Amino acid sequence: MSETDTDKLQDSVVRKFIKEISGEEAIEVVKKLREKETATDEEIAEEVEFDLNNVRKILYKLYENGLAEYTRSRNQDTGWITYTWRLTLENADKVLQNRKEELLKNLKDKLEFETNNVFYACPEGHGKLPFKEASENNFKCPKCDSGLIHYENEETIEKLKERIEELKEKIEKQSH
Amino acid sequence: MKEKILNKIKEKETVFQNQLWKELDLDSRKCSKIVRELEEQDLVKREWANTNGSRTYKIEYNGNKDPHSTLIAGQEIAPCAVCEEECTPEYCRPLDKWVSFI
Repeated sequence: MSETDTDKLQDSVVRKFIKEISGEEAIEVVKKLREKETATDEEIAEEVEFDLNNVRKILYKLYENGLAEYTRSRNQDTGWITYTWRLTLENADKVLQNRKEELLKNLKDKLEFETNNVFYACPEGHGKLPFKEASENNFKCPKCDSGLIHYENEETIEKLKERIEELKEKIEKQSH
Repeated sequence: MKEKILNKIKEKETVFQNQLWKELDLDSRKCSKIVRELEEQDLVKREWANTNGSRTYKIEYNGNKDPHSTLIAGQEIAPCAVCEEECTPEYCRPLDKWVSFI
């Protein structure tokens, strides 16, 4: 187990990220793999007592997100392929930095949209529509037909501006 | 060395720099250099302060301001960090909800 991996798992954002991409059980799988350094999916499933398919899904999600890798080997006698897994939590900072850049781009788009439109919202909580769409729907909610009411988005704009600035600062700092 | 200094700051939460190098029995300039590096990494923040007639830095552990905290609002991670759907942020309800937690 590397020191970097241990530290990364102490980061609450990294843990949240792992849970979101791979499910609640993923943390147990990650802890087990961290403890063993390398292990096959069968070994992990047996030790954490989770369904093998679930463990495979978790590992594959970690792999897709750059937090685990595997090597394949074929048993010469049986022809069976074995996947041996290893965590690559040292990539977590880079992965989350990319996600912050994506979030920043999306929040900028959203800020522009919020700034340039007037909104009408469903009182039953089915979201809001910009003026053009609201008027096309005769100011009725497309989901529940309730009358739409004017939505004041100043607070949303302020929150977006605030987080955009924070993200810019953090991204800048981490890229140095 | 860096780890040792950071752990001491973590343990105390707030510490004066001249107290830090004395307690850890370090060279003051070396200690200052490392604390500056920790500050650049956003792990600690420091500001000038006076203590017992000496001018030194007051150092605070920046534990809550970890490098990825901007992905979190309320207790939730931003949907954009984990979403695999085609993206239309302007109309994304989960993103609207997340922004309301900021």
